[in-house]
Amino acid sequence: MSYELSRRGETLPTDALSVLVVDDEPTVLDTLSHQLGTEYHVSTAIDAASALAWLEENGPPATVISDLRMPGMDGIELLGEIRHHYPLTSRILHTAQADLTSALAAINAGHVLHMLCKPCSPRELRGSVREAVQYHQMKVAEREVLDETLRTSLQALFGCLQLASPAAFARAGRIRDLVGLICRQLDLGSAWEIEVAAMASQLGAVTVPPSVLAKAEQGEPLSDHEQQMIDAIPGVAVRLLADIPRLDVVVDIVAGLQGNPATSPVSPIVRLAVQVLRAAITYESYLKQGVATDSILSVLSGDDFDPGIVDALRTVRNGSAADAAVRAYRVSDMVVGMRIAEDVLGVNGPVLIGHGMLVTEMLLARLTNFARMGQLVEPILVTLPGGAR
Amino acid sequence: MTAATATTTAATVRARVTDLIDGGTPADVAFADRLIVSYLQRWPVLLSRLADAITEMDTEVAAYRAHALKGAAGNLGAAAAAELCADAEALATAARWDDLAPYPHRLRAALRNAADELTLVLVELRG
Repeated sequence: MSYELSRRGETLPTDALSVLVVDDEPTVLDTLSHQLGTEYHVSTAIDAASALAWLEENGPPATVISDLRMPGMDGIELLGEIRHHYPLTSRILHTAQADLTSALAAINAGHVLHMLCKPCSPRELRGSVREAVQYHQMKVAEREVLDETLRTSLQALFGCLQLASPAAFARAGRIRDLVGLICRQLDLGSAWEIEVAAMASQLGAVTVPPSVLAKAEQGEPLSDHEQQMIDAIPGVAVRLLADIPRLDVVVDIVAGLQGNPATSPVSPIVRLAVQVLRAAITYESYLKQGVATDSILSVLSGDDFDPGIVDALRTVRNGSAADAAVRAYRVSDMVVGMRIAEDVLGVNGPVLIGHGMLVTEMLLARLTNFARMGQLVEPILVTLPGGAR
Repeated sequence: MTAATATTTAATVRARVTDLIDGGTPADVAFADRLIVSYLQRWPVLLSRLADAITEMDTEVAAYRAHALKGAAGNLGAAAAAELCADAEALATAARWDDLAPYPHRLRAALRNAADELTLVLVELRG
């Protein structure tokens, strides 16, 4: 059940990709390692369980070559698992049973790129692996483009929220920052999806009149109609984001805030993320109403929140309390990196920039323009970068 | 084991070894040498274990041991032996013990034939 790293003596290029070979016959592992070891970092696993353990420990390789028949999980099931958990890894089935049934199963369940018959010539093996690695590289490049497109699209979407409702945008940012801290405290790997969900959860605020949002933030009593508007906020984000690729977990988390997950059954990570986000939103709401941190934590502890999440929240809040050094500044003296400590108001009352926002170059330019026109109230309360005093 | 089968085995084994040393480097030759030595040491042990499992009529173990022997033989081009192993694996899986009874004997002949050829190849490689 052990695995080992097998390479030939030659020096590999620094950018050599990795290939995992799975076979229950040690001489086959030796052979493939020898034949591929001059071009790739080759690792081997003696069965499917060892392969999955290797993947868990080392992350996805460019390509996996798996035998079909092995004790325990067979190659088709293994490649299906790899496809599910590591979709960018290309897959090759290496089998002595090149019958139609095996081929169909390999294609339908394992979505293999190549099926090689044993014993396979080195030329055919290397050619197939080269193609599989190139396919992997193409998928990685596509994913990077998609990631960048997704990231910039989300920035644009949240930028619209900032323009339409500065207070809601700032609130979303505060919730996102808090969620990020809690996730790091809890050592959650998929924090980006929870943080995007935190921002997205407030997108629907653009549909709610500012006066209603302000009442809700201050904890003032709402009419039934107003409460319906507030309750419907997450649903707006779900409708906006539902068809965007790779945001399915984000949509599930936001939908979970309403108790209506988009997919069923809900995965454990989504369930946990919903709890984290709900705790952060509740915390932020109480804080906005002037409730002290200790009191909020007591309320959360008495509620149905996961004690681990409340403990994480307590830890991150205790850690940040010491850093808060609030100062009053005129816009002309402000610098990038400060954080807005109290809502910046226009002279006629509306919130221009909500508290909690990080001062970026763009934000500073906006403040400067408003200050030059005499359209904002100074001084502005900020906290200094890194807790400087 | 017919003469024709023996000739075929010689051809498939040599073709496979040629494949294995396709780079022609000392490392390739040393690797082929190591693989052949490993096979020559392992096949009697693997066959003996398969025969035991057949005697004990242990379906799962017999099928797995036939499968392991098939992998080892097939990797060095012993195609006829690998085919017999595949048949034995299928018969063991179906628990057809009567049909399986002659297989250890047939396999010994086929594996021995491949081993003889590989021994010759080994001498040539070292020469």
